[in-house]
Parts: sequence; structure tokens; C-alpha cells
Amino acid sequence: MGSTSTKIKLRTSDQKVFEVEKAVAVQSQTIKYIYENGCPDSVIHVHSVSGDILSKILDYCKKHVNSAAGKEDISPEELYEWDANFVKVDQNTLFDLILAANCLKIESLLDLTCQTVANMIKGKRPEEIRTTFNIKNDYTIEAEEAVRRENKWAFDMLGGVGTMVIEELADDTMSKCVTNAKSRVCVIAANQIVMMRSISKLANKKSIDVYKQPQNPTTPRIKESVKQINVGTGFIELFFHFKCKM
Amino acid sequence: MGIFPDEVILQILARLPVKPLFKTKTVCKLWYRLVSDKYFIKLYNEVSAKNPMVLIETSGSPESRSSLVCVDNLRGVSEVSLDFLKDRVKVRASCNGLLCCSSIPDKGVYYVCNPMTRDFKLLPRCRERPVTRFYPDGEATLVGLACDVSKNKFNVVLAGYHRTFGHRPDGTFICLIFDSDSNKWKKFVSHRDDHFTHMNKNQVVFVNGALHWLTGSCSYILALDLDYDVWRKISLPDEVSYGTGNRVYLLDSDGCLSLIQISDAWMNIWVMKDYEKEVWYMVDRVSLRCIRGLVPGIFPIAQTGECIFLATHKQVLVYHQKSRVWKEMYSVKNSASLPLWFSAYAFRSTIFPSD
Repeated sequence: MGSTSTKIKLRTSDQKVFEVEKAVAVQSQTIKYIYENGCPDSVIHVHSVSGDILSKILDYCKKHVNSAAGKEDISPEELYEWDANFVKVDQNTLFDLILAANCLKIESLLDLTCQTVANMIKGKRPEEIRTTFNIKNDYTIEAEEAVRRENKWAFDMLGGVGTMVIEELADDTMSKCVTNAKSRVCVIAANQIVMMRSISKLANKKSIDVYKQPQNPTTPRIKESVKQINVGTGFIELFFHFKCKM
Repeated sequence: MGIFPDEVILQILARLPVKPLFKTKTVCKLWYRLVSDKYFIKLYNEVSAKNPMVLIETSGSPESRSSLVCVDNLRGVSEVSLDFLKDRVKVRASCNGLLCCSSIPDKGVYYVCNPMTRDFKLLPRCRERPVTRFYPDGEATLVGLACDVSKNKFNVVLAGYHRTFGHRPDGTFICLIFDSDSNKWKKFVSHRDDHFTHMNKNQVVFVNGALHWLTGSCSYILALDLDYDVWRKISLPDEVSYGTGNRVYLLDSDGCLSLIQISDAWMNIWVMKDYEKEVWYMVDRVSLRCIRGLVPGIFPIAQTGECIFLATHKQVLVYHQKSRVWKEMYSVKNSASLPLWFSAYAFRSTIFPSD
């Protein structure tokens, strides 16, 4: 049957040509539209995507098409792990992947990459977010303060004895929460307090050291003390004795 | 010049939990406007609808009285506080990101709040005397919250049997409905002879403009159509009505009525895909072999087409339909507390335009 082995040619911004199976290429709604409405024999130009990025994207599409068609023996869990590894790239590559997924209209890849970036900025301060996205701060100091006051609750940290602090995982430079039978690495970022430990090690400790990131990255980290740890089934309850404002 | 076009920024921000999202208001003026934009709010709510959550009122120490535990797939376990209500409250209903809570010290006082954004409304007192003369417990048997996200409005329903002073109960069923648009209560009376179990009262489902409760006898679903103020009955699938020894629960599945039927070894999931024709489809039949020991005390709380959250006395489990995997999401050590299923509610994170 011709349709299953139909190939489509794609030319990137740096003049590289890729020949891919139609089923893989049409994961991109943009390519699908052009193919169905244009001339199927000529090459489709993907102007805004470089060869390196397109190569990665085609890997992603191929993996997902094969797994859905049952051509590859891969469980949903394994595909999830594969996706998690796929986005473990440097920031520039990740951003290029997002822009390409957006322009090629590959919904699942856009979802995956945007969720990854959202997780990355979850625990960041506004100035760090501006740097990450190259955004100019157009607030005056007074205006910014006013917005902060208006949304005060979003900027306050939970504090005090007996408070559970398990939120705002920021995993730009750390490993994500990985579940497998043998061990788990749990990352907890509570605004400026970041720790990484393996749960099996934590289970034997009575207390752990927590380091607070100071405003100025060159000053030494400040140690807070943790009073008590309850290790649940992969989620850690920490009782902090501190108050902290962003 | 920013790295991403606006539509990409929206996709990224739509995947943030509410608190970090509100922090991004200080990044720049454009982002401040984005968060309050109608299109963004719709996108945000669509994305979060795919992430079902379970909220549990814990009977912990007095300090944590007004906090709830929130369990979901994306963030795991977190804490949500209702201290912004400045009152001791009990959660009575949850719908599309809003909670209806009743004051513990002040009977007849109700709040509707969004625990994520900390917006709340104290409902005006209902002037009708039946509020305190509901029978038999003195408070409404059924409390329902109908939150219509697209119309940005909600209704609260208090319904129960009423006994006129000095008389025996006669099946009079009073229904009080609060409308957030008019900010008023209205009342209508009918006659019913249903009874409801604890789970029936907790598991009220709002779909297609109506509130639904399963009745204690499990013979039908009682629906209150909020457009026409009428009660009607919806039948269960035959296999469920005539099955013996099964426990049945009413849930919402991606905007459709869903029934979960639990027997010793199996969990059957029914969804009413055609509401107009009232046709039920069995969408899945799950073997309970791997959680055999937990089956007698397990209750389904929240679900989507992809996963189901269930609670036992001390744990919250999630079952993923595609991979057929069970995972434990949360557990408590303190066995003296009330069972988790007792006050667990289906929930999702929603934001509303501020008015």
C-alpha cells in the first residue's frame, strides 16, 4: 500500500533536507495542512526551524507515532520517561523546541515543553523570570510595589512551626521527581529554599540541613534548621521554624 | 525583545499553579494584563480541567483546623488554607474550583470561596425560617454548589425535609436556591420520600445545568434542573440497579455523569455520554486484584477519562487507565483521625475574572 510508506521531504532554514514518513510528518498540523493543500511532490519548507531542532522533533514524532501504532513495545510509563528525558536539554534548545512546536503546531510537544518551562519558572523570582525570557521591566518601583501589595498572599511564604511546605517545585537545574521502584529523588523548592536528597537516605535521618538562597548569589548560603521529618510514601513533610518573605 | 510570542507565553503561564501565576503579575505590565484576560482565563481553566484534584478536610491539630490537604498528579500533596474566611468552617460542596462552606459557630452562615485565589463571598442570610427547621438534623440534607465557569456565576442549593412546628413530618421537601447574579435566595416546595447516605450527600455532580445526587436506595439519580426549578429522576443502568452487593458512587467524568460500581473484585465505570437520551455506557471494567485488601474501605472521589482518585481510611490512591497502574499518592499515619474518604471532595484549580 502506497500510503503507509509515503515520504515527505522537509527543508529547514539552514538548507538541510529530511525525508520522513508521512505518518510522522503529519504530527505537525502545519505540515499536514501544507501537504494536503499544496503539491505533495515538492519539498515543504520549514523556514523557522533549524536542522538540529527538526531532527530532534522528528525523533519525538516518530517515537509517539510508533508507540501509538503499536510498532514499538513501549508502555505509557516508559513513554512518559522518554518524554522526560527528551526535554532534559539546555535552555536554548528547549526554547527552540517550543518555538518550533508552536510554529509546526505539534500539540503534544508544545504541551510537554511548555509544562517543562512552567515547572522551571514556578519557584523563580520576577527578576529571574525577566532574565529567562528577556523581558523588560516596564514597572516603576511604586507600581511594582502596588501590584505586590494587591497580591500579597501570593508572595508570602507559609511559615511557623507545624507548617507543611511542599509546593512550588522548581527544577530547572535539579532532577525532577522520578518514580521508580528502587528510589526516588524528591526536589522541594519553597521559594528560596532548595534541597535535593534521596528519600532512602532521608528515612534514616532525624534532621536535615536546609540552605536558604540569599538575595545576592555571592554571599554565603544561610543554614536553617529543620525540626522534624515525616517521610510518607514519597512525599516529605517538613516542619520549618522560619518566616520568609519573597 | 522577548524571546517568545504572546501565544507561547500564554501556554506556559496556563500551566502554572495559581500562586506562582499571580506572582508573575509583577514581571511586566503585559503579563499583569494577561492573567486577567478572558481568553487566558478560559485557556487556564481548560488546561487545569485535565488535572483532577482531591481536597481533604483533615481533623488534625487545632492550628490546622482551617487547612485542607490537596492531592493531585502534577504537584503531589500540598496544603490549602481557608484562613482567609476568618471563621471556622466545614466544607459542604465543591464544584469547578469553588467550595461552599458552612460556618461551624454560626448556623445558617454560608461562604462560597475559591481556595486557590482566596476570593470569597459571604452569602446573605436566607430569610426563610426553614433554614433552621430542616428535619431531622436541623440543617439541610442536601447542599449543592453549581458553578458555571463560562457564565461566571454560581448557585447554592439547600434542600431538605421540613417539619412544621407541632406536626409530624409529611414529606414536604423544601428547596432553597441562591443565585449569585441576583444575590438572592428563592424557595420552592415539593414532596419526596428519598433518603441519602453520607457519601450520597457529599457526592453531588453539576453537569448540563443540573445538580445530581444518587439516592440511598440506589434506584435512581435525583436531579435538580436549575433553569426550571424542577426535580426529576434519572435511571441507572439495569446492571447497576439489579446488581446486588455492589456499592455505587456518583461522580463527574469530564463533564458527564459517571457511576462507579464496586464489588469484591471489580470496579465498573459507567458514563452517561448522551445526557439527552439518558444512555449509559460502560467505559471500563477494572480488576481490583492488586488492591484486594483495600476494597472494602475504598471510595472513588474524583476522575477524568484518564485516571480515578480513590480514598480509603488512611490513603489516597490513583488509578491510571491507560497504563492500568495503581499509585499511592498520600497516606496518613495517625489512625485516630477521621477516615480520609469521609470528607474528601473532587476539586480542580480554576480562576475567574475579577469583577
